[in-house]
Order: sequence, then C-alpha cells, then structure tokens
Amino acid sequence: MSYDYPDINGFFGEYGGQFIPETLVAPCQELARQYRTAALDPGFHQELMWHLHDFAGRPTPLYPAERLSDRFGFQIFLKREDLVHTGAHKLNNALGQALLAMRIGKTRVIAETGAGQHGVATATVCARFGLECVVYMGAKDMERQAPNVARMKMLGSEVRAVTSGTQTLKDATSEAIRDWVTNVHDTFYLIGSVVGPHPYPLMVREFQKVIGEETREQCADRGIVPQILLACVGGGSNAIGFFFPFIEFSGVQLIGVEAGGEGDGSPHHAAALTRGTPGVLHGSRSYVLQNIDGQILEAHSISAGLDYPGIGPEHSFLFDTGRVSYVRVSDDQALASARELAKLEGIIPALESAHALAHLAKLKQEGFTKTAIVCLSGRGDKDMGTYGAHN
Amino acid sequence: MAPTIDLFALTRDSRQRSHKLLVMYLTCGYCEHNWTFPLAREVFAAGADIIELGMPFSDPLADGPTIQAASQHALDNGTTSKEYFEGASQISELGPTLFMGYLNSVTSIPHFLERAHDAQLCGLVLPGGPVTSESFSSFEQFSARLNLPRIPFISPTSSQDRIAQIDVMDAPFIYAVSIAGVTGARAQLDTSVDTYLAGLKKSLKTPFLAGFGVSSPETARRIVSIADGVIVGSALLDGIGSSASLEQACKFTSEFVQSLREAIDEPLSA
Repeated sequence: MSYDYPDINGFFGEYGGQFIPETLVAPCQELARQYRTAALDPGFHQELMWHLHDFAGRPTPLYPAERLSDRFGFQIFLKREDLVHTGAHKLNNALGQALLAMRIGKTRVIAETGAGQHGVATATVCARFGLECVVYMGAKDMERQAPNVARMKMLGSEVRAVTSGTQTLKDATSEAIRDWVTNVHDTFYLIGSVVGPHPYPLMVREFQKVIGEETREQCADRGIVPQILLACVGGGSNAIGFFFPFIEFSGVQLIGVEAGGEGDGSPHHAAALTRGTPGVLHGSRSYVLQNIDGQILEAHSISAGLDYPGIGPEHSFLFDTGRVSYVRVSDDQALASARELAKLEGIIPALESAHALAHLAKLKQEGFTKTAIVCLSGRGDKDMGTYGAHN
Repeated sequence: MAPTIDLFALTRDSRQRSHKLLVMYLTCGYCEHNWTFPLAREVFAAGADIIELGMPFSDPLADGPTIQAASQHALDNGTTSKEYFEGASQISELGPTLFMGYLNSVTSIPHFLERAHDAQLCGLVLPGGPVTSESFSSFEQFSARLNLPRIPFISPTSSQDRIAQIDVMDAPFIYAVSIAGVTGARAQLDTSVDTYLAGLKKSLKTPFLAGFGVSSPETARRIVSIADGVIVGSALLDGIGSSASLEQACKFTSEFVQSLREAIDEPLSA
C-alpha cells in the first residue's frame, strides 16, 4: 500500500484544502512553494537536524516502562517526547517552522496556544533566533496554565489574552488568523498542530515525523516489534508525527486517543472524530464538533491541549479509511493514569499524554499480550495545579 | 412574492447607467431579532441598492471586533437558521438581498441552498472561502443552478494571474477587499487603496465593489470614483449597537445610509 497524501491542493481525500480569506491565498501558495523548496534542500535539513540534536536534545529515548509493563501484563515502551527541550514534542515543529520563517525573510512570528506548550516552544525558538513573537491564548487557558504564560513572558514573547467566544484554543486560533490576515506582509503564522489551511497539515506532519522515524530506528536497533502505537489526539500533531512513518506497515495497529471529557453520556467532551461530523473550521475541511445549525460547539477536556472542537484533516481521512482507530478516554481516566505513571515509573506526564496512557487498561481488558509503544508527548509540570486540585 | 432578482442584470445595468451601487451589511438578529426587518426597510428606503444579510456564525474569522460581537450577540439571542431564512424572505421582498456568512453554515445546515433559494436570496458572500471553484465544484454547480452565484473576492495580495482567473469566473460582481485585514470600520483608508482600485479597474471586465474599512461618506465617495460600488457594514452596526432603542437605531440607519447615498451620487465635477 502506498500512501501519498495530501494531493497538490492539500487534500487528504475530501479533507484539508484551503478555506481561507482571499488575502491569505497568495501567502499560503507562497508558503507552500517555499516549503517545497526547503524540503528538497539538504542544507535546510542539516540545519534543522543540528538544532533538533544540540538545542532540542533529540533523539529522545524509547524507554522500557518495566513496572508499568508488569502492571498491565504486556510490554510497554514510552517514546519520551517529554524530554525534548521545553517539555513536549511541540519544539520539533516550532524549530522547523522558525527556520522556514527566517528563510522566507519574515521578522514577526505569531502563534496560538491552548495548554501553552506550543506557545512556549514558539517563544523559545523566537528567543533563540531573535524574532518578534506574539502568542494568542484564551483567557481561560491563561488561568489554568499560568506557569506556561510566565515562561513565554520570560522568553520575551507577548502573550495576548483572547476574551472572545469560549476563551480557549478555538478562539485563540481565530484571533491568530485575524492577526495574520492583517499583518501578512511581515508575519509568519507558526501553527502548532496539523490543522489550518494547506500547507500547514503537511508541513507540521513533516516536522513532527521525526518522532516516528526515531521510534522505527530504535525498534530496529533493539529488535522491538511493536503491535500497537498509542498517542493522544487534540489537533493531532504528536499522533501524526508518531504514526506517519508506520502507516505503510499494516502489521502495526495505530490508535489515536481523543479526549472524552466527562464521559460518553455527557455533552462535555472534545472527541471531534468519534462524536463529531465533517465541517469547515480554521481553514480546512475536517471533522468538527458542531450543532445542527453548523455552529461550532465548545469543546471540553480537562487537558487544555486537547480542548479543541476540530482535528487535523489527515486524522479525519485516516479515521474514514480505518487505517487508524480512534477511541475516547475520560478526564477521570486520564487523571488516574497520570498518577499511576508517576508512582510506577517516576514520570509525571502531561494531561494530554495521560489520555494515551489511559487506553492501556482497555488493551489489557481486551487481552492484549504483546508490545505497545505510547507517545509520551509532554511532561506534566504545567498540570500540577490541575493534579493538585483533583487529588 | 417579489420576482427573483437577477444580480447579473442589476450590476450590468448599473454600470451602463453609471449608477454606483451601495451595499449595506446587517447581521440578522442584531441587536434584537425583531430589529432586523425594520432596519432593513430603513436601509432600502434611504437608498441602498443591495443588502448583505449576515448569518451569525460562531467563528467568523474574516471579521473584526464589530461583526464578531454582533454575531455572538445574535447567537446569544437565539438567532438560528430558521430565524435567518424567515428574516431573509421578508427582506428580499424589499430589495435584492445577499447571503453573507461562512462556508460551514452553507455545508452543514440541512438544505441550505434550497432554503436560501426559497428565501429569494440572490447570491452568496463567503469571506472565509472557498477561494477556488475546484475545491468545491459540486457545490458551485448546484448554487449556480439555484441562481445563487458565489461572489468572488479579490484582495490587495491577489496576484495578477489570480485576478485574471477570477475575472472570467462569470460572477455578477467581484468583492474587492480594500485592505489586507478583517472587516471593521477604519477612520481613514490609506491612499494606496486608490492605486490598488485603479489597477483593478484597468484589469477587470467584471463589475467590482469595494468593502472592508469603509466608514464615512467621504471614503465611500472616494471608492466609487473608481469602483462600481461600495460595501459598508461595521460602521452601520457600530451605530445600531450604540442605539438605546429600535427607534433610535432606525433613525441612525436612515441618516447614515442617506449620507452615504448622497455622497456617492454627487456629480464627479462637484
């Protein structure tokens, strides 16, 4: 099976594309062109690899979680993206896009952030490369992820509180797009996930696929044969980066874990794929949470990074084709899994990553006995407030 | 029922008569649901040629603070597609009425195009895209059959190639975004707008109307000295929003639209 998506217009089957104001058409086309040129330039790759290695601390370990494996009765490895500089996989993409921004000659960078991890990653690369940086963040998220707000400010970025709508990632993204439309001549929009108009879902996947490529090499070197890969899915960048290099290996089952929020009986969740319908949001066609009248609904997740009513178009495509299975995990299950990992392995995971861990219990129930790898996309320092409040 | 408006004929004839078009935008359900029709009546009575009736959407990413707030307000008031199409069918009895809104409403609301057609709407203004016919061809064919042409946009960032492509799309008119940015009243428009519009006048065969940022009769006049018409929205909503009653909002609307009409109709030599 050969997997060759997106097409030239940025479509993954019927998902993706460019649904944007006319003002962004030429800039998106130019960005796609610049990205294609950069992707073919060995010099660009070398520079990116150098930064990933010496600045970000890659490669990250593929860690055998022995006590967790004992607990569940099958072999579990953790891909330790929590050990990347700044504490999450987000830096992989931020580095790639920042290098591209400089290559194109943009001097101002904007970003949206939910949990603040992408905001911190963007603030970090902008500090490192001397770029002006403005991060849009929902006022509600600024409250629940205060440590990350302080980090962004210390790194020299301006954090703009978004008070419209739901005051979370959805509205922060809309506001970032409005800034971009207005300042497109000097501004690079550094999107944090595999969402947005083409070429973003493609570009972000390519910058994140280092996660899966390393995993594949580490497996080959050590003779590990995984049957299941698990990753949490909000917009879906850690999941795509982790899954993509395995997509053509049909023997590896890929499972994306959505935020089930308060549970299946409740309307408060963020499961865009498994409880949503196709729509158009933030520049591309994809599954979204919406009402019968096409109004986008407020998502809910205890994890700010998964609290988004949309999902990347490639995930929508992989969901329809069935190549990736998508499941849901509730707030409570995620909290319990985070505690369990902390006590058994000495690792405090981000609440987002804890969703992926929570599905391990289901695998055990189903009688799984082989080898699973979980993408531990981020560390939990930022979530200590939430962990403390739910003790 | 009023006869279905042929927007193509309307813009073509206006150009032949050197009549400059005034298009006013209203958000359906703002400030109150029962305000929309009386305000629309004032808009037409004061001399507007076309109303762009906005369907409130939760995530209007091409809109600035005024239309964002008006949309949220209308949604909070309980404006749904049902109220929208009821309002639209009444308003289209008064004069040519366009749908303005976002693609997700068009694709997700059941039977959207049929309902828009039944409400006698005469075109679709979608500022957040789609931006190409190819990305949405089945929809475009269907909407054309229902006499609901999509009004294409051109912006200061559009390339010459793209402008040429849009010009041959067979649209009743082109919506020229005057500035790179979101909707919203600006105190002044930079002089680069005139250069940009003059460039469009040279390259386009299709009539073009300019909008985004137009807030005063003076700016409207400046624009129609080059373009086939002008589109004004946020400045009207700002005035409506700061009115204490429907009566006051109607008075403001009538005077504001009249002032725009007079300014754009003033003979060029004056």
